[in-house]
Amino acid sequence: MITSMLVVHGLFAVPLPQRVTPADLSDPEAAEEVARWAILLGVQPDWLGHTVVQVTAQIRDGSKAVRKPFRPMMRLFGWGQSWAMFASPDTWPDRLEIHLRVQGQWVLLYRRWDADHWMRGVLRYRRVRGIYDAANERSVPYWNVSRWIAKRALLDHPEADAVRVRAMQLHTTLPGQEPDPYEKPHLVRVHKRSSLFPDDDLAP
Amino acid sequence: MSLLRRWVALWNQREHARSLALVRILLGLVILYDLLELWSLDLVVPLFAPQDAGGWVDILSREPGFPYTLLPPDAGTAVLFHGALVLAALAFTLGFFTRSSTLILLLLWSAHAYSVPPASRAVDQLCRDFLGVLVLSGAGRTLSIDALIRTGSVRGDGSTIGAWARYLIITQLVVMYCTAGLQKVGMLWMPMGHFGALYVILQDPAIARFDFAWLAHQPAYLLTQLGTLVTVAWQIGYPLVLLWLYYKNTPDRPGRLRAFANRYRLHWVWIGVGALFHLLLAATVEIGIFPWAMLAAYAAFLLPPDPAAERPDFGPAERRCWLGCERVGNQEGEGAPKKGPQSA
Repeated sequence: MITSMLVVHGLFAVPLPQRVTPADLSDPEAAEEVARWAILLGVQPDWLGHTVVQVTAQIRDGSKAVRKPFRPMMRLFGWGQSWAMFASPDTWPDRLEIHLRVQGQWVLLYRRWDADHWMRGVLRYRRVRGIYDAANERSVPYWNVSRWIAKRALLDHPEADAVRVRAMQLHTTLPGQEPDPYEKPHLVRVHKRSSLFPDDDLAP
Repeated sequence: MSLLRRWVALWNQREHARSLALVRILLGLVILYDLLELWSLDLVVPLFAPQDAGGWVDILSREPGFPYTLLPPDAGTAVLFHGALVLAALAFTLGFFTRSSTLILLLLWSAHAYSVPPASRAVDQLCRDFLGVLVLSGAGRTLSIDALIRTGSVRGDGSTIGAWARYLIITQLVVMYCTAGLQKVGMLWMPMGHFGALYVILQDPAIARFDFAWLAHQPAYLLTQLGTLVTVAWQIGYPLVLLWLYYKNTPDRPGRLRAFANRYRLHWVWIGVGALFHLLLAATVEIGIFPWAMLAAYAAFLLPPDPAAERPDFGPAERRCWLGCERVGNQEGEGAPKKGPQSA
């Protein structure tokens, strides 16, 4: 039984690449990585990206078939052997920012490292970070998290009539490279008090 | 002895339960801390309840899992769910109905991961992998309420358990580190990327504990580059710890590498680097309980005590287990147990 469990977990532990789609390659970090490898290998980035998509799809289909019989057991016990942690460090990280609208002006309430005292424990908690970090525009949990944050902010700050939650995409360059002051807001969610508390009742 | 027989003999080894009990207690404390922190931050409903009841994830839009297949999908069920997890974790830590509480904790945690995938991280998966091993182990045989009930002593009666569970935990650590290292395929982990990975990670506002912009200056940047190199090399080379442990427990056999490894205690170098790595992680990045869960599992590297020292009436001699424990025992008709290695 031990041997069979080792074999099953071993099947899931084999470090196979995740399936890469053309949409994944449009991510700036992924595009940067492909460009670096293309220069190193002396090939065109487009060709390399296309090849990566094809090869990872085939690997994925093959591994899926082999692992399929054991998935119900792995799912039941929540087991897994996915350990691709920091496989490709994020050179386009997001920084969470929260602003209050007070008398028509946006006032900073929370910015990571800068002014991160409000709800610090919650916003740093690993499960919360897991939801807002690496979210995309279609992410329902991110929308719900932003609403929850907005409600809390409005309860704590009765003078505000709206809350803006957003992620500022930054660009990290290595020492010796030209620093990039790039900052682009995305995942912007604005929540008005009138929408969150329609009866003008401060209770959640 | 044929390879198959050696393989079977390896997994049939028996040892004192103390090391495994320490894994159970330390891991249990980490899990308890995480669950209680979640409650103290008022995140039980957001992370456990369906969307309509204030949850963040639309659990019911997928095939709902336990407990929402049995209980109403509301905040009350979410609180109950979290409370059950806490109780199971507490019982697991204290070693009360150890196997049952471990299984319950594992199944509840798995159900939560299915319901709220974004809130389930690598460390959650790793802890469930460990729990899967501990369910069938004898981790409750000592330092537990079960031991107190069964024998009148928290330390138990010194009876042995299968060493396989501790071996599997060590194996899991090896697999995790090695595959994590092999999957570090981003160029920043390599010379072509100037070994810039740690520097970049420490510039990520979502991960780094502080603003580490100052690392751009020397010699700080050089240290991060060295750290990157050591991290990858150590992770990919982690399976060597099994070899060092084998050498340590077979010191009578020949070989210059064995002698070198034993003289300089290379197994402790590997384990020590890991402990330092996780302590540095805890100090510099915010990845929750991951470093502490890993350090809890490191208790599996501790040699269990000699069962004969605990029980002078210990039964027949057993073979030495090569992954870390030495057992001696008295043959029938002999006097006090002998200390020292026995031949395999």
